Amino acid sequence: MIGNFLTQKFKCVILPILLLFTINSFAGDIKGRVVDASNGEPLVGATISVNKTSLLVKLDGSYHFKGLNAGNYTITVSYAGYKSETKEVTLNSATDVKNVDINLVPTASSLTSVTVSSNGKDNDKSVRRLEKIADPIINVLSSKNIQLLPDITVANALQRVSGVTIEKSNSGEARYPIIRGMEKRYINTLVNGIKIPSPDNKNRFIPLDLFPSELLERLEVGKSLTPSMEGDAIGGTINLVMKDAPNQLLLQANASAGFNTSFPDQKFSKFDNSTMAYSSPAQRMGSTYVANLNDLPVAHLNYTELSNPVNSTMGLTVGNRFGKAKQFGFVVSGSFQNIYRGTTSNFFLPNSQPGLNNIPLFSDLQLRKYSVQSQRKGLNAKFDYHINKNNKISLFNTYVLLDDYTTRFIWDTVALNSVVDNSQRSQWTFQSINSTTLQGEHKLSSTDKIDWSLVNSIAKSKTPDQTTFTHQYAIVATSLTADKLQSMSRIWTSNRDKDQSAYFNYTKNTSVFNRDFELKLGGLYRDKNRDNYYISYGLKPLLGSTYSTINTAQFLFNPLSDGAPGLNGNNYTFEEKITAGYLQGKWNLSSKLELLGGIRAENTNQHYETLLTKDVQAKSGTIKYTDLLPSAQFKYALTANQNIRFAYYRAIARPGFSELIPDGADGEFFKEVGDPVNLKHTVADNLDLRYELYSKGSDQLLLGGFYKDIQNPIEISAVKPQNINSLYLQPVNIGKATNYGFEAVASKFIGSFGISANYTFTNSSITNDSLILSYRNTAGQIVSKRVSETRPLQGQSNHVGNVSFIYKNPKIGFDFQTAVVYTGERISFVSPYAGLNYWQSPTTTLDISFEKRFGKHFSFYGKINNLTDAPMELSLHQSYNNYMAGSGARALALQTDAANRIIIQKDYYRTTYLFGIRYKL
Amino acid sequence: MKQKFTYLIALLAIGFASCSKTEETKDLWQAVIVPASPISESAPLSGAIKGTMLAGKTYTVSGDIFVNTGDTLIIQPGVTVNFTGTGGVPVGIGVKGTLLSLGTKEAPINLTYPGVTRTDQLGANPDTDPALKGKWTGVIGATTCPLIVIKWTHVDFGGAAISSAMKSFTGGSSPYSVYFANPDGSFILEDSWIYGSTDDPFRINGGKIHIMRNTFEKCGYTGGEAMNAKAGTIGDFAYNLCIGMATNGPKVSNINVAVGKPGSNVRIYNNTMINCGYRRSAAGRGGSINFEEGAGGMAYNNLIVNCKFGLRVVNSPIADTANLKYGYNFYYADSISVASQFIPSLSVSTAISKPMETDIPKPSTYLPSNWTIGAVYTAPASVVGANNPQFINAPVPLPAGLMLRDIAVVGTSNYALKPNSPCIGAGFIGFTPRADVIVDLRLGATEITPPGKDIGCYQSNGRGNQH
Repeated sequence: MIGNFLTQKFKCVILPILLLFTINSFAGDIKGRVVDASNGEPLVGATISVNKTSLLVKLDGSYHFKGLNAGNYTITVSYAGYKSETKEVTLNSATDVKNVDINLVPTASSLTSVTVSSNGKDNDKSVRRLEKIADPIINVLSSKNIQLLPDITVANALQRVSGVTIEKSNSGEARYPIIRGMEKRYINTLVNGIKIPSPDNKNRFIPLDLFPSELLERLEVGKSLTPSMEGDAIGGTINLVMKDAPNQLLLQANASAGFNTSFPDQKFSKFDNSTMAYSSPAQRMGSTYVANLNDLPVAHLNYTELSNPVNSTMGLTVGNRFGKAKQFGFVVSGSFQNIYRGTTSNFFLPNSQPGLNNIPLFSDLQLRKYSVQSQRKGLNAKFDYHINKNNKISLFNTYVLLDDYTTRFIWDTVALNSVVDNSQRSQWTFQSINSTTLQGEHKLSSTDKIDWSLVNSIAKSKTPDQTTFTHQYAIVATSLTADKLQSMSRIWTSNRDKDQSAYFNYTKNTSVFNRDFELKLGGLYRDKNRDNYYISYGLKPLLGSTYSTINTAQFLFNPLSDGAPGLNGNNYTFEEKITAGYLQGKWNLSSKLELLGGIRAENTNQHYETLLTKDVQAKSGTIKYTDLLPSAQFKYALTANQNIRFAYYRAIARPGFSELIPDGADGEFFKEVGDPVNLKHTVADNLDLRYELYSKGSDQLLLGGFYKDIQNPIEISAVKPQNINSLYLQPVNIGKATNYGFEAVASKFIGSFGISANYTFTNSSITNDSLILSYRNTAGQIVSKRVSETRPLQGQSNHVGNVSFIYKNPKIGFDFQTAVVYTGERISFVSPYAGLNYWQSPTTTLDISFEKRFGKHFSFYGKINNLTDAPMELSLHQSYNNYMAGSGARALALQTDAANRIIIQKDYYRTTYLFGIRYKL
Repeated sequence: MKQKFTYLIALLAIGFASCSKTEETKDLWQAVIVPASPISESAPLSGAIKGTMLAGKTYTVSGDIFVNTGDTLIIQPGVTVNFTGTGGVPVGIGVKGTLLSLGTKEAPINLTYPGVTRTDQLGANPDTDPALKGKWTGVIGATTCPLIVIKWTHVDFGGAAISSAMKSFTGGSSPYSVYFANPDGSFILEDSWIYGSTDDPFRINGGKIHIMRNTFEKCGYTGGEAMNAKAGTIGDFAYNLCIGMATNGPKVSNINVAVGKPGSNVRIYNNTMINCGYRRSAAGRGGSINFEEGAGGMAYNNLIVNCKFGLRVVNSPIADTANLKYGYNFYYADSISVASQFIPSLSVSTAISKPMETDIPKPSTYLPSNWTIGAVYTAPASVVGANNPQFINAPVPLPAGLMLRDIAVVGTSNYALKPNSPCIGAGFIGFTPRADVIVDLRLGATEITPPGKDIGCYQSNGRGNQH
């Protein structure tokens, strides 16, 4: 039987199929729904048998047997994780139609709370249930859902969640989430409920493209906080719940291959990283070592052109449970992905200062081509040991590694000098996170419970010998011009974040005024040690040398350094100790109303040391603060399947590490600096209201509103320091901001068809009254003044929407999903000049995925991403016509809305196809 | 009687004429100012410093020295300050307060690095020339620095890597021999010499300036202007000799002007620029005088010999053309390719310089009849070598065997004009200096020399450049 693979897979319940019938000469129908007895959710794919006929339950939980004769029937339903059920039905006549609804009782114990749940099932139905019973307001994607999604990384999968938008890296890889207009700095990332450190060289936020999505059991996006949760999540919490030890043997494997359509039009430029020394000359030879040219080979600036690089992915999951009482369990899943991307980007670099009346000027016209090979490796292992029914110990380890090999070519037309700078860069970056958690849960009595976690994590990133060189030729060649060699830079950077923490929670179930009351208290201590290393060597061309190939190029050491390494304030150590404690109570005021509230205190104690000399202000420092974070949540059950929730919580966001260092890297366009003197951490008061309707099956309707009052939001702004001849990129607190919005999620399934949609409206507002406007004064001089401007927060889109059409046919084992994501316009870069913020244009992306089962254990699947090749586009809200009317303007390509906008960047990532085979035992 | 009367008239005429021509010479006692806090030369200097470096003494600087806010450092005539550093780490002087380097013609001051010698032969290899290596950091003014006065002072071999403490003064790691950045402050550089640098020998990001009668030699390795003025710089740049600059003589831009401050506006007159622009690796820029991005001012009476480009008024980002005037500039070229850039073009160097008929040679004599502003042209051979400015002793025309970039120092040359020079009397004096600084022997300009009748920095009346 087709449907039997499910029962075999789980070997949970094997039911004898009983069949009783009487002979009758007429035909009739039996139909109805199969649902979870505990929550009424349909059990799609459950096997239902009548007579010798078996059917699989459809998406909405329904089944329908037609053409039955009158007589007595026994209906049998079985489904993994549930006790099987039989029912007797009698059809009195051939036209008789009987409605028989069947409730299955789960075999697993029910979930109590999200973060300590260990038996969460990986299907859509149980995640709906999670959303319904969770203490905070959450949205959940199940692993089945993730598996069917067109996405292979957690970052990409996140955009399917209501209210989440995605920020892409410059190679087009989705990397960071933005939840309801709150950008990545306001979001914390947890693995199995435990916060992990970031390998990012500057910040706390985790690049979520590090995580292959198939390692996940489910992905939770929390949008409110309870006192027991860490408080640095104004925007929300992303919890990656890794696969858990199964109840019986689990074996899954998959492999796929595919390609990106940017090739072969754009060749993939591959370099050999074997000449990139892992450590800098100063690290190898001592910090005073003066490097020579032999220490800096250039072989990795030679590129091999690949026409059709093949993407591949592989995954394997094994798990089982053994022992006399099945007290030992384990699961290990590994994942490997090797993905090639090619991006073409056109970028017009606005001059650091606009012209008269803030009409923008453009100093550089750039064509950029990226070739990026990303190798992602992930390993998730979990072991648990049920000592007895009251005590359980588990050990889990998550390891992810991402190697990125990036080749970047820039053709930069410099307006001022009428030349083209061709720059070539080879960069190899590898980032890893390894997090080990030992966790215990102990039932002290029927009412008392403790759980604890000891966590040791390390996040690392290293970019050895990032090599960039430039040669320059005139746009119009004359006898005075030649293709001239320019400078070369060699940079070694690395950073490491060691994070050790301990969590402890105590829970007591009691009653207050005869009503159930859960008292919970606990705390955490985290000791974080981070260090950053940065060293650079600058080389200049031998004067007047022309360029033919890099291998014959003649360089000299920059006369300033003569081979001595350039160390600066990017070399620092950062210690952070977080001590937190909380007290919370959950009180069932009535059978319908639940109140959860309490308070959390978080103490932050930071200390940094830089290599800057002692005459530099704030070269080292200690920063301490304590936040009291109250929280209150009401959940009112209107009916069995409807909730109304109201939540208030206060949360914080700590500035990134580099943002508190009084120096910084020389970025792509601007020098970056931190500001330990003025930058304050962000505190926000948040209100949430949500209505939830869980109708039959996976159908749901969630309607919510939110309001955030944010003190000292942090934004990265281009800052114009007095008398400094360039812009700085600096984190700034611009006073106060508000963010409010509305969110709707709806899912509806009819038979094999489903539609799932979500929409979020967000409106944020922040006023900056120190923007610069240049004008000509009455004396005819060009001068400037400060003006005020109100705008949305960086990264916030007014409208974000998401629609998926789903077709699931369990009978033929075919699943199909098409997902459209719309992200409205948002500010990507804040300018110090009035009216010159960079806006990212709205995007609509279309992705498709499908899976077709064949045989008992195999399925074929495909994932097609970015089918419509939606570009990433940046623009200024200024009239292009107006710009062209100004003196000294040069025409810019790309323009499509000349009356209203100046388009300054357009990147294409092309379509990616991936096809594969999955095996399940 | 009639003859007598004629004599009388003649005498009177001579008398009147000489009265109007001759200035009074006065030799008056200068009040003795007792030096405050004399600084001892016996121990190497480092850290905060104020007071007076005493005349004729030699000081050694072993670590960065700083003049703190509110403090003043006075350097008396004849002082030599050796910025030796320690263990190869270059050092300089950071100025948050006031610096007065008051040399005299008879006893100039030396701010230098000991033990290196000038390479004064023509055609010296710039790749190995210590002048372009940056041996000590330089004089670095902070944004709080109200006043720097440098008179009759040699600033040699500067432009080394900047320490992290002084990086906060300049906001970057680029090295400058002299740096000033206070739009409310004054910067005076008079009768001084700047020899060698790695980038701009003099970078100013805002300030009132008076840059007169100086000599800039062999500055900038692959880029660097004698004066790179930005961000609301106002004042005068006159009577300077710039020879062998990597890029330009003076360049004025208004980029990054402070909010509320007036835009950059510099009057550039009576300068002599010799063979500038040939170490600049960028193709389309550099040469003589640049006005860029929102900058205005004037450029008159400049003598531009064998420079890579003529006066360049940049189109993108555009100069403040509404407040920009120029003319009476004198060009000389030894090749057609140089002469074809007397008026730089839009396509090669983003320039929209207008042809001025007051220039020598007259543009109408070499521009094609259908030429429009910004267009490329090829100069006729008749312009090459024409109008030799008749220096007293100089490699003009370019001697055989030398390249244009080989002329980078004055050496034994003399760029003053012979009496038969076509530059004499060809200048325009119908304008005045901006005179944004005060006239004071110690705290301001000694002399704000008005425009001179002779094109270039040397004047037949003895005023102008005194070197």
